[in-house]
Amino acid sequence: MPESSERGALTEGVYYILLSLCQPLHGYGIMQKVSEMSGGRVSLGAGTLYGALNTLVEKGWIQSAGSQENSRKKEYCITAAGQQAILWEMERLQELLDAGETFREEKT
Amino acid sequence: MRTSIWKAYYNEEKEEQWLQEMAAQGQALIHYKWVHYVFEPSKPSEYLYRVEFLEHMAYHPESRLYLQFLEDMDIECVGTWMHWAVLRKKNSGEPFQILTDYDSRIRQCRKACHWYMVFFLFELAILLLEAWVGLYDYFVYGDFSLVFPLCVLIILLFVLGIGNQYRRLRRTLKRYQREKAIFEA
Repeated sequence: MPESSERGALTEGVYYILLSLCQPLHGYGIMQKVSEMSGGRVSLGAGTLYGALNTLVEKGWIQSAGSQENSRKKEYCITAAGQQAILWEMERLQELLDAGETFREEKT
Repeated sequence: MRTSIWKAYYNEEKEEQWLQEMAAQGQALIHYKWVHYVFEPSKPSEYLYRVEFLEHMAYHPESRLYLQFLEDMDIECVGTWMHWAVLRKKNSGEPFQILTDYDSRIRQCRKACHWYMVFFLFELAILLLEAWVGLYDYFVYGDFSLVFPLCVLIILLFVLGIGNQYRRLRRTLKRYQREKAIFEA
């Protein structure tokens, strides 16, 4: 599980990668899923994705789920620690949203 | 018919631009090694190219794993030399970006800066040695040969080129760091 000191803001890319891995996917699948979830706004470069996947595996937030049949492409899936990281990030985003709403109410 | 071109680039942005111009003229790069490029005819703009500075040397197992991952993403490695890899992808109308976040770009820029600094100091040491040998021969033995000033001039051009590229990378690095302080990616 991530330590409390590691509960910083996730990048958009990492957040979407974690969300996309609720089902096992390989690199190309992750890129497509992230683009789809963000309505094409977040486009991950292959180099960025490679670095993020390695870091997330090291942190234990995702794990290798082997390879598809007839394919050497490695698939990944999210772990319990990764799911917890998503929940913490959602809390953080909600806090930001609430602060923004307060500001809007005060202005109107 | 294949076309072989010898050309030296310090600036990977200009190199990419040239490769893209060649591709637009229907010349697809099929081989790359240091200053040697081989092209073969293709449909105009069939491929998009990127010149990537690898974190490790190209022969390093980590680089092999990385290039394998890129291949799985339909990104082909045309050739490598030391830390550099020329990559290409079929042109689907989408932009071809390898790094899309500031953290990765900053890390890559730092590595490249470090590499250019080491290379710069190495070339500078050779330049000074060459100049010293030339001057020693001239003043002590009275020998004067055009070979020495010519060598010094060539190495000086190398040193200036490397220094220029280092300064450009430092500027890029600072720009990324400034932007990262405000924007996420």
